[in-house]
Amino acid sequence: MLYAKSGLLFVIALFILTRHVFAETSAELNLNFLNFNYEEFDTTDESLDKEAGIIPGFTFTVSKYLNNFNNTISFEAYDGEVDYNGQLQSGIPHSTRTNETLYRAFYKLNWSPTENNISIYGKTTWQQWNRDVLPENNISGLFEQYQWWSFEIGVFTTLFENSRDKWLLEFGTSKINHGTIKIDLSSQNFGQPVLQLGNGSGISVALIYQHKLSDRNELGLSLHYQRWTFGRSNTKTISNGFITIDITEPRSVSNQTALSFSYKYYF
Amino acid sequence: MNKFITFPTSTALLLGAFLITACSSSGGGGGGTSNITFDGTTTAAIIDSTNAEAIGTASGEAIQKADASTGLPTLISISNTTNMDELNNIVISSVNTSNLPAGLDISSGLCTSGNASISDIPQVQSGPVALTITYNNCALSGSTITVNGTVFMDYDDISNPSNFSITYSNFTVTDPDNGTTTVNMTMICTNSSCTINSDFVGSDGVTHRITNFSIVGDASSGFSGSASFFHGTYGEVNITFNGITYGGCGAVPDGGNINFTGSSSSSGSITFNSDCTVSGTWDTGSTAGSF
Repeated sequence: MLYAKSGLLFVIALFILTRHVFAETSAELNLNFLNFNYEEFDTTDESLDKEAGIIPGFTFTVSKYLNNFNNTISFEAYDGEVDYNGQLQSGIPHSTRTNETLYRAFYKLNWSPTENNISIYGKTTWQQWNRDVLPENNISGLFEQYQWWSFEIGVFTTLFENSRDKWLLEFGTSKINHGTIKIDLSSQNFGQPVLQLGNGSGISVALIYQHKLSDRNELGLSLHYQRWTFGRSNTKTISNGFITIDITEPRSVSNQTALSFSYKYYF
Repeated sequence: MNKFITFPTSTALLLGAFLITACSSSGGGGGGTSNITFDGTTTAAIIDSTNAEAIGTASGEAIQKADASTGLPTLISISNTTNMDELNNIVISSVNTSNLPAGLDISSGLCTSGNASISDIPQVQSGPVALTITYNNCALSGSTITVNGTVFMDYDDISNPSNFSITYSNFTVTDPDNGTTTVNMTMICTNSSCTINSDFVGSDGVTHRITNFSIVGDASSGFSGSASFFHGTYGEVNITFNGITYGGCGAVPDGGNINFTGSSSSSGSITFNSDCTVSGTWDTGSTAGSF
């Protein structure tokens, strides 16, 4: 909650800083294909399970350029099934499918102090990930809902530009704090306990190509790689009235690469 | 020491999205490891002069046969709340938890001392599945109960996971209030409801069943309680009994009495005597008599 308030105050402050100036506004719609990779590890760094596959999604972005500042608000969503290869609690190997649903909303501020080809940016992102490991054969499923804020800083530079085409590169590093995970163990009568995800960090690299069709219309193609980690969560003792168990969310690493096709309109 | 056990008609189980349990015997079941399966009449009996003594005598044998493996009713009391429901749910929860995929780290915690293990879970879509759950002096976390022994869970067909059986074989439950109780029985679960059936061949050569029983007492001081009794030839009656003792007449009680009711307001009673004779009454609802 504290981070949500801090993020909101950050966004308000940035808008105040950039008011009363000339603005160029654009809206952008992206069709994305996300190469999803997720892996969890036990306390000895042995892999517990991997989830991998390509899931489709979209991004809707509104940007407003204000003097040397570019404010961007964006929402994106993904949904699709990927392969799950892991094991059961007893250690027996297990394969199934996982339905992954991701929601992201972020605010990003680019600042180019000298209007040259390099700018720096700050980005605040809220994410929700619904991870639904599907039942397979006689093995139960597992639903988990992750929510977290991440705070990213980075640089954004133009590699090449002519009258119609532009190549851009973005690199950022992020910090993740105070994430939570809600685990649905209702079927086992343990309810839906919530754990605190361990703090994590991440990096982000994007290569972006833009092709101007006209003064108001632009097509784009981008490749965006993100990697982040979550530390091992706290341990919670839960009971269903018959047995008592300790649960912990394992340490994890996410690697995601999005291929994105975009259309942007300048107002 | 008198112990107490109640087996409700329907045991609501905490079956999750699926479940892996075991049911080796098809349809009926037997107490303990009995392979006898009841296949007689399941409709309510009409009690009259021709069958009252037979029904009464067989039901008297049934009380002793409630647990076929030990010859005495299986008794268990867990923290004074009775119940096999609790024991079943402990077992089912153990299996359910073990059956979760990694993605969540469930550390030990089931046992604060001792341990529990579950046999490999076959990942098949249909056909029989059998699991063995072994508790080795497992002091259950969050509980005062210590369990020890083996439980078998069997599905006839895992594609229909609501039907299974749970068999306790020399399974002991120890709690501070009631000491140690040994459990030998099979529970048959259909559509997530479990009943305990004890099937046996009576001295009349017919296979009978006693189920849904609630019993207190022992063989020397006398059993009291109630049950559903299925006579293999005449059908089901509900019985209530008091002071049923064994010892002097083999499988037949040597003391106590049983009242039984069937369909169409028919009913009967039987008294067991120490000289191994019986006497009783019958009432069809329109006529009555004695034997």
